Amino acid sequence: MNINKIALLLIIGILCLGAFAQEICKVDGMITDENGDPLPGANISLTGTGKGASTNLDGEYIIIGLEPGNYEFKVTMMGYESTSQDVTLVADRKISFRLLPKAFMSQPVIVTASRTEQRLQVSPVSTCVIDAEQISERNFLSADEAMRFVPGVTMSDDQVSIRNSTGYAKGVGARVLLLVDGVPMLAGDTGEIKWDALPIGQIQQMEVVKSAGSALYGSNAMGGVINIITRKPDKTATYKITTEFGIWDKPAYEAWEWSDHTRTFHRIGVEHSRKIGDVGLILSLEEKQNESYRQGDSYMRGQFFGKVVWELEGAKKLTFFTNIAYEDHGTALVWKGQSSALECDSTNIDDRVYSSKVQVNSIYEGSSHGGKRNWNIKGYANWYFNDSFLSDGNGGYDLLFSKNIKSGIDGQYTVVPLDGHRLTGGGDFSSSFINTNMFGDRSGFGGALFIQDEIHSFDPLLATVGVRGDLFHVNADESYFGETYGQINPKLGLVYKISENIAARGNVGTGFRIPTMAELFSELRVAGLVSVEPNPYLRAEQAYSAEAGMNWFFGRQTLDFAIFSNWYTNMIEAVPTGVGNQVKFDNIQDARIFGIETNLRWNMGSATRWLFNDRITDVLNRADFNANYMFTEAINITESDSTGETVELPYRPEHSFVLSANIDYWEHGTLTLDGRYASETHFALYPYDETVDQRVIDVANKFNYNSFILQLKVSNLLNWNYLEIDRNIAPIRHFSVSLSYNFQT
Amino acid sequence: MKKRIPLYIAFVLIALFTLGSDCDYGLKPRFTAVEGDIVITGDWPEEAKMCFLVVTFEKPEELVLDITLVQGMYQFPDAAFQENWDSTHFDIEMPAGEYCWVFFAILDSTAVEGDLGWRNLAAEYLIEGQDSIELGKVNIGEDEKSSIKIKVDFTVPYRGIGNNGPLDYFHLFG
Repeated sequence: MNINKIALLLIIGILCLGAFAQEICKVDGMITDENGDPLPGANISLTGTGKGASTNLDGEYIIIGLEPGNYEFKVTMMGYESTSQDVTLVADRKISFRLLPKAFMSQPVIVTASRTEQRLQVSPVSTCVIDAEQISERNFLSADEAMRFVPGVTMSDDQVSIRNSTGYAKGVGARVLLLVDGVPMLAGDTGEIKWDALPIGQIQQMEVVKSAGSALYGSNAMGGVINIITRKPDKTATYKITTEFGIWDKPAYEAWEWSDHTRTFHRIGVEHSRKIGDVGLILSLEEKQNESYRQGDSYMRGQFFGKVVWELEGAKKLTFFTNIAYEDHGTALVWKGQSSALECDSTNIDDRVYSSKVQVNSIYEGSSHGGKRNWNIKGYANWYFNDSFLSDGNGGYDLLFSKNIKSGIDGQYTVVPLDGHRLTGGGDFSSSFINTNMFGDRSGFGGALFIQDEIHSFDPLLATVGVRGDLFHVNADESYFGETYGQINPKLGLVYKISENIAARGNVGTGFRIPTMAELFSELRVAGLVSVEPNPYLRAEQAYSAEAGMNWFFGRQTLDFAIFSNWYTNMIEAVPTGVGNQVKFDNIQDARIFGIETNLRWNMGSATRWLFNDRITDVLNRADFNANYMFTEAINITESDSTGETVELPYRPEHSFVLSANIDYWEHGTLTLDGRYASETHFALYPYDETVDQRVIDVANKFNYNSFILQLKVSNLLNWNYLEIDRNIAPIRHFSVSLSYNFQT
Repeated sequence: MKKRIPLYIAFVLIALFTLGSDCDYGLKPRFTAVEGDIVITGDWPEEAKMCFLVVTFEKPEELVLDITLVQGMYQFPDAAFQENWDSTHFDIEMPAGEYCWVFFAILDSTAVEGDLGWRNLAAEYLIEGQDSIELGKVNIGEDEKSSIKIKVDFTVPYRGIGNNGPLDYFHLFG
């Protein structure tokens, strides 16, 4: 071999080495906190590769041996919000990340209060946000269970009430509009929320708007709006298997024991998420069974959730999601009094409701001009089928059935027509068709138009003005002339940013609610116990609402205060007629709900740094605390005036207090403690029954290790016996353990 | 410090649990009730649609009963009038106290709002003395059951003790 050949081979070798060297990349950088200070011990991982690193004492990291390609960098650290970034590697790169403390979650981006994206701090109405982590840490079995710990929200059995807007009528006539990804989900016949059909495991964020929302969302939103935003599909193929098992404790008193064996409940779920090209997918299947702590109250539920997100060219997106749920549930209306509080009347033990729900929804949305123009069109169709087999009190059964379909289309367009203005306008159309033996075949249809301008021209003052007009027609039949309901609802909201961290807000507006078909026409007798009489000439209820509030965001602490008042005209409530246990839905001419609400989020470490040494502060730094107090005065003014005494609206506690604390006490462990208190309420069906206040403490512990999550939970730790509604002891103490396994391929 | 954190948490949980086990549990079992039998003479009225036993603190002067006076109520199964029962049992849980009016009422299909009261009276709880008949009072102590017996005679129009109004005030006999 001559020297030329050797030189050639060397050159080729060097070129090959160079080529090989180009295929191996290195990434390094720094991870800092919100102030730019280095974060030692933060983890950085490349999704789906098994590669990653931790930062050193100077917050620096280095990952070597990476082939060129696309990677998802995920950065996590206890006490801080996780973040991720898609990176295309062709050569060595320096990539730095900035993590925000978890307490900053208190000012996330919300979409419900103004139907457009905005920071929580500049929302003109009080809004509360619950994120996926808060739900996951508490391991809730269903969405209504989660609502019990939302500040400012009270539950009367399955009927949700925001700031005590709603009493109890077995779910009928909700004054809270429930949306899933902005799509309305109330049943067409009763206007109730079907909690069992909501995908609790797929929630990314839950937004609760606590003021009349009729100026944007129309009927049913007069008491507020809950918007459940489902999660996005994962970028890599992920699988999750969840199992949960729980037991109900024995009743606190021997006299209340009614079953020989320990009552149990369980849940099994599988889910899969992935992205194939431009299409993302989530599939989830879940089965739950609960023997219940009460007689005649067991259930079996099955649920499927599917979501397909197709990212189209030109910043457009098409989303389909569907929810299919089945439930077989005991349905005793009331249980015995305090002698045997967990037993129902022997005639109702075998009463069952078999129900199926199918929700099919689509959203077509897009954005252009650098985000200055956004639009979306939502279409939905919800089918609900109920077959109730109820004892007739004489040894036989009455079959009450209801089949209804509610469908509609909703569109909105947001544009920035000139500097300092953001204009949102749109409309919707909906229809309901009902076939039931409780009130015959009924149908109705309606439409609405709305417009809203968010004015930023007078910074630091942000003004929001809007108006919505609604019409809804209930079709006539041979015994009913039909009725058209309509109202125009204006609103005005103001936010004044006093400083970077402090904002004052105020809003006034009107709300209204069209009576549901069930409230107008129901004529049934339940187990010989309660008779419901029809009232086809019910009027729509109206409300004038006003709220003033202020929020402070100081470091990792937030404080929010609000004072509110709602004046109702023709409020629809289920009232006893005076004939036995007969009730009907009737208009209360005047009612008022006034109150104050205050909420404090507090990071124990930063708040007590001056008090403790560094080691304790380091632990407390990972402990967050939330306290909420609400006072409300709900008065039936019409009856108060006629009797000369203050008559309160039923099922509405005067004082309520919610307290939550969670601590990431260990790299793999999070402890959550939730407590709530609500003062005694009075009931409509059994007003002479004894009541007590509500004192409930739940404790949950979440361990995560690699791909496993183990959760232990004690609910109603004190085993406190209380009522949310007449003769229905709320869930007694129960214990659960759940195990999840997540993996990626 | 970090190693001890789970220990501290376990301690807090045990303390909470102990506290929870040691305090009271909110609502308690109560056995305060009035129970007894209705004994029927004659045939039930054909118009009967609902029948109730009602316990109130006092007997109102007015024809219509103020619903807020009602402290306990029991609705009998429809079979009672459909199958012409000659007696039936009731058991009503209610707070301890003295109740001055216990009555048996039958509502027909024309019953309207506020109709529960004198107009639908079929019988009252009575104490029969040697020379007189007067309204019986029911005293129930805490965690006690009082037993009473009410006689209903459908063969004779009943207008109630102390009611001197015309007989056609009454749905059943109007």
